[in-house]
Amino acid sequence: MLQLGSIYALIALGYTMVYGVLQMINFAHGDIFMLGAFMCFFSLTVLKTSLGQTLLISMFGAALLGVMTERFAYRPLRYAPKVSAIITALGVGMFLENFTLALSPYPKHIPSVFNGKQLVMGGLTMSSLQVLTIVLAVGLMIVLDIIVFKTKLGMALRAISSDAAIVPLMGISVNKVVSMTFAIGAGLGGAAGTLYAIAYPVIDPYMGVMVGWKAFISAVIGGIGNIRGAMLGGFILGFVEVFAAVLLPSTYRDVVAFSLLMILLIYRPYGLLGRPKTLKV
Amino acid sequence: MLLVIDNLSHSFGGLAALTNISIVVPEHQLLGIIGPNGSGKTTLFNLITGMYRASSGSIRLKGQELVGRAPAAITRMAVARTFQNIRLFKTLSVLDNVRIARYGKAACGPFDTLFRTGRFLKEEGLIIDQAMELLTLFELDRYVEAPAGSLPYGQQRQLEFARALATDPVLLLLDEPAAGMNPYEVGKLNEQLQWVAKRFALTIILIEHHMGLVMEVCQRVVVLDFGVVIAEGTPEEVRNDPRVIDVYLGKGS
Ligand SMILES: Nc1ncnc2c1ncn2[C@@H]1O[C@H](COP(=O)(O)OP(=O)(O)OP(=O)(O)O)[C@@H](O)[C@H]1O
Ligand SMILES: [Mg+2]
Repeated sequence: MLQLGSIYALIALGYTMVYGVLQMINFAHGDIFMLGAFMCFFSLTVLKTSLGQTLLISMFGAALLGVMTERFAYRPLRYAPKVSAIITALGVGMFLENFTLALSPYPKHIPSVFNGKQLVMGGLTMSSLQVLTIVLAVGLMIVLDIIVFKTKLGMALRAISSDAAIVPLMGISVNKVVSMTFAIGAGLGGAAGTLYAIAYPVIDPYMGVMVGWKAFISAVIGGIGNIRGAMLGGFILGFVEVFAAVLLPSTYRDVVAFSLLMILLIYRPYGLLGRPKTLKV
Repeated sequence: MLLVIDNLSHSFGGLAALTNISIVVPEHQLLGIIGPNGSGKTTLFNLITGMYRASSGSIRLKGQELVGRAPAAITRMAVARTFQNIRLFKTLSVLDNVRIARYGKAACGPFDTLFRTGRFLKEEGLIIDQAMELLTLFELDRYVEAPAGSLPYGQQRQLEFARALATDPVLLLLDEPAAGMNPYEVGKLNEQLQWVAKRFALTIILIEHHMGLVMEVCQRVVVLDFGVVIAEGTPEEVRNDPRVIDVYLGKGS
């Protein structure tokens, strides 16, 4: 469940980062995750790369894709009404799904890269794959946290979500920061795609839809726009889903996830770590 | 001439906010801009800083055209401003508000930053030192870690001023810095403007409704009304200009 949670958290970061700088929900992000899984497949089967190389390839590939979708699909609509951006994002998502479907009409099987070694820690039994997924995901999140809170780029990011219009008056180009945001967010999505594909080795072009929604819910639970909130939300949702599957028939998993969101939104409309934005006058 | 504004016009849809404005500003001058509400003063600043693109005309800084350039590029050409209704990064700390203004010109790339190279640490240390120096100068050093939005109003104005200076401007545009100040604070601002202008070798354009301040601080004053320059000269000349008296007294009474 930590494994699923860490994958949700990685994807949720992409939603929340883009929202933080553009106040836009990038509905195509789940499909970037899906393409990360396909890049993992391509890399393992065609290029015959090691796991580390595979991860890097899918991260860089997804980052590039993220930057391109922003540059060509979202940027021209930056100042258009929000609805246009949302519709565009949905369109980009459908394009990516169908593009992948055209290339790969049948589900693909990821070759197994891991022997099923079990690790016993305390009373807990985990496969080495699970441990690896969690360690990698948490490692990436720590790096991201350092970027956001300790670097120039991170400061620019936080400044943009505070008041984007005056960031250029600091001599900082907003477009560059937005591109970097998409690169990082999509890169984490690509990493999640690879980690997911290795854990659940049958992949298809629509796999990003439901996982994307779940990650989006995680971001909202944590407080959309809040980086640490997205991480927290991902782990919470992972926990809840796995527990729900233990206590209830597994078909209730998604019901539980969406119910959790609705109940939370009634009591904490801005998510767990989110703060209401005061209106600017 | 540091700044040459030539035949500048701007309209919002059908509304002409500025019409054929020409103003020249020599280096190290403190130029005042006055005019009734809605006369186009703030619009002029928005055009100079590239936040709006002029409908026609030109703005040259040291001979280089500013119209058509992006705001970030214009800032890097050493133009800074403050806002009529203070605009800070409210959720960022006081220190970070000033630091970010120095990042635009920082040399280190993402690689240096991420891997904390020696170059990065040196530059970062320098930036923090410079930021602290500015904050001390503006008596904000005891608020360093506080979120900018939590400061009292007066200190927020000071911080915005300090942040503008942190970009290393040659030309500084101040939009009604005395708004909401009591006479004592206006007196302090008066002194501050004069020493800051000297110390940082600035050319300043000051929009202000507070006549006393303009008359004392500025060497020259331009008067706008309905987007047109109706008078220009020394504070003394402008004060006695019948058109100016008409605009101010005509509207006030
Ligand atoms: N973004 C905008 N869209 C439409 N009209 C605008 C915009 N900004 C300014 N205006 C109009 O342009 C005119 C000039 O406005 P501007 O803000 O430059 O005046 P000002 O001289 O700064 O006034 P004040 O002293 O009240 O600050 C006004 O009629 C205003 O309503
Ligand atoms: Mg104004």
